[in-house]
Amino acid sequence: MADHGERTWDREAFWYPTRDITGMLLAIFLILSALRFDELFGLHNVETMLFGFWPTTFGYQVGMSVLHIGFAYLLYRYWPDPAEDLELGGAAP
Amino acid sequence: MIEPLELVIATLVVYIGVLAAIGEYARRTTALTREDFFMGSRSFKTVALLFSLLATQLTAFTMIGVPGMAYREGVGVYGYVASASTLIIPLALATVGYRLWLAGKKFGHITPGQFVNHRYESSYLGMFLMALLTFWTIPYLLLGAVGGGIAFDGLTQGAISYPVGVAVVLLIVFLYVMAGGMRGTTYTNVFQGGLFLVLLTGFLTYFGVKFGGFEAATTAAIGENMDLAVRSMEGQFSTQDWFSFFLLTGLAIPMFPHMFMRVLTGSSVTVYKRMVALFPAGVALAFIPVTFLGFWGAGQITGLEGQAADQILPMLLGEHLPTALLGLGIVVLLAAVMSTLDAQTLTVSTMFSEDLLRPLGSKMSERKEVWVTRLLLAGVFVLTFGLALTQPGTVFWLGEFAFQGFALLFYPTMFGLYWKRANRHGVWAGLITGFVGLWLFQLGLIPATVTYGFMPFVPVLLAQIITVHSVSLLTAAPSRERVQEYTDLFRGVW
Repeated sequence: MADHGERTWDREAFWYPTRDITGMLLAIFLILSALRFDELFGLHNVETMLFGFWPTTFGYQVGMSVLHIGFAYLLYRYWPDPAEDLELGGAAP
Repeated sequence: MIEPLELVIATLVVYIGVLAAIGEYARRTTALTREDFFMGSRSFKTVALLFSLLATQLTAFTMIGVPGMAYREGVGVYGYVASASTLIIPLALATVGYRLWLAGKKFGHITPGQFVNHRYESSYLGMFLMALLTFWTIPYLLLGAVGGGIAFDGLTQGAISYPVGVAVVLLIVFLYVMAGGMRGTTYTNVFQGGLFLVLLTGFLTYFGVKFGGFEAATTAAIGENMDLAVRSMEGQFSTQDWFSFFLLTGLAIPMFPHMFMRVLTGSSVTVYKRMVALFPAGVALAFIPVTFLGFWGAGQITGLEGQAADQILPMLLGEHLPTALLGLGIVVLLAAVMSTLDAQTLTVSTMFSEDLLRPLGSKMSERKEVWVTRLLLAGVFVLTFGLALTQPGTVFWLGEFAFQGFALLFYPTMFGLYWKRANRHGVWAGLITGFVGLWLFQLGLIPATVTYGFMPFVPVLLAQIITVHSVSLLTAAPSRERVQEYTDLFRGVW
């Protein structure tokens, strides 16, 4: 039957609400996920045009995408390197 | 004096000629070995990896489905599709995707089937996963072929009919995929992805000016229907659907077998993480023009309803581009369609070869396996052509249905990357639960009302998560050795 030593998640992999970098990434991801819902601010039905031609909700979502690019940069900046030096392992199983 | 029609033909000939030249270069630099033909020897640098993933991501859905939806439902489509992708896909690539890349590098996995067979210590699980992946890839393949046919038919106003358009697209892709394998598709995708971004930006500017300026173009669109400029909270853009599609994007895209295989082709950690950082910028840029063009199209061409709205971008290009530039309009549509079709067809035939023929004990040499894969490719193209002639559903619906099928492959396949107790029994049970559950909704055997407005895959996913963990815990644990191999490999990574 089950081996208790293997009945676990890879806990090191996850992000927790801590004060280190992974805690910051978790917080940013959750905030960005929530901000996608533009109805929170009523922006989904604003009829004003940005620059005279760009619908507000469209502009808001493009702004969100710019923030997402920043999030991707943070992933790059704090990327965890692998523990092993990798060489191609040869034929697939 | 060159006639406009001759210029259109010349543009297409140049475009196809460049693809052929790249395909020929790829053929010359590709060895007839499994690693090289299927994976390009996992040697691609940042630009090649980035554009191959980006171009694969930009599909007929991007070029036909998104403008069609912007025309029907309004500009909310950008948040629905693009800003979901720019957040959730980098996260998926940095976590699950990175672990798969590491495992592929260490153990030599080429296909998703090989990964599950190895991680979950099974002989036949990979075949089952391959069958499911192929099943869900067919509608997605059709999306490209149908999109190509619609593009030709719409842009030439019927002069090049739908069946001929489908045949031309498939034939061109077949030739360069067969010649250069993964290198052929990757190198052509760099060209097509770059062309796509440049031409679309050019068209956005051109149409903005042609329609009397950006403000006039928007005024004309909202004059037809003000709701197009706001995000309607009904139907497709309701909060539940908005959430569902976000989740769907994160689960389905890593499970596309063509994305899975491409992710494995990056040459180093540095290349891989650069790709993750740059990917959302490409997606964010590409979706701005297609959303605007569909939205502005509503002010120029009225009366397209339902499936007919998918014609808006080809019609806009066909009716408003000068004839001499029509060739560029066809080229941009073909670039989006073909850059996905090539990866999908190569992947499906590779999976047949690697997950079916090899495990069944075929004693082929690597050179012979490459040739068999080329024959399988021909079969996949013929099948796709036949199915595309039936013109199934709207392009967007077709894509979304296949997306849900892919999303329900994610958890059973990937939970073993993080949970050491995961075993093959849990994966089998989870895959079957997902497939059966989705079809029960599709066939109406479970009423749609039980989803509370979420897409059907959401409740099925919850059932699937419970199933995979329960079955894994009730059956024998995986071997300590195999779990340890993966634990050591993943130490310290997300």
